[in-house]
Amino acid sequence: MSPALLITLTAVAGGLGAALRLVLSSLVTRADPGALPRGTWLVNLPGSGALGLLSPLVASGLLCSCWFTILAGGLLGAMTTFSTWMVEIITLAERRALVLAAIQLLGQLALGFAAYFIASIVSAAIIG
Amino acid sequence: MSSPPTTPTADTAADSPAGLRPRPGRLPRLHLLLLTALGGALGSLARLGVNSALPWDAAHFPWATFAENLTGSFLLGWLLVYLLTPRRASAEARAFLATGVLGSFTTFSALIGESAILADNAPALTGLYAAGSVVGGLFCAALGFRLGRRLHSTRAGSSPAHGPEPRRRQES
Repeated sequence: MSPALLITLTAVAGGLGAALRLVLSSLVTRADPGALPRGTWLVNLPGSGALGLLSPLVASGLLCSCWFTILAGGLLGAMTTFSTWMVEIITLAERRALVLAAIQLLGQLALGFAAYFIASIVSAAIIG
Repeated sequence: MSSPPTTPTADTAADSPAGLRPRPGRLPRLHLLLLTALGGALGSLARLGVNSALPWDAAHFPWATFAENLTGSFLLGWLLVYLLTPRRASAEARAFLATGVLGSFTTFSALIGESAILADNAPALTGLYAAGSVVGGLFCAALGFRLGRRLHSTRAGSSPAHGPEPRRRQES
């Protein structure tokens, strides 16, 4: 794949990922200002799981590194977000909602790892 | 992070996890979706550029993602404060810059994936990378808020000490 095509497809995938993030996070309603922000969970956990599915495919050579750049770097990299997650936690901490801040931080991180590892085990088992 | 909120600036950030949600439970408006996609394409290109400039070999510290996530968190904190000053509140700017560019420039999945790969190749770096990203990201987001409040809150027509009540869903 030529560099120009790789860059173009990564940009398109990134645009799709960002749009998908907006749509997915629009699906959850926020109950009240003191509640846990749920939008980032809805994009970051599926995104980590999808990356777990892709990783064994690259390791086994079924997926070339260029498509990994497009799908993992472009699509999933844009669908998931770190900056909004950080801002949410700081906002919870400033409101003194420290338990919620800790759940938002550690819970999402732990489940992100869990989603990745479970998906990569399933993916590796399927491709043998 | 240690001081109480001095302006209402942070609230809308958390109220809209992806940066923009004028009508919870409904699909976003089309032009905002398109602006988000355009910003997302640019943010992804910028991340691809940083990744190319700082290539990662799976056995060392992933500086590219680390740098993207920390600078993106700082810029988002600052930008959200800036966009909350009354005259600058703009759903379009928020969709394009916050949800689109910065949301896509930073990434959660790469943080998870790279940490998992480090666990196999350089276990000592795994905790350093994951914890360092989170602690550094929180610091940078808080710094962005603080800088934004210092630079923009007086221009909003109120002193930081007695600002108006939180203007939640200002963008709606």
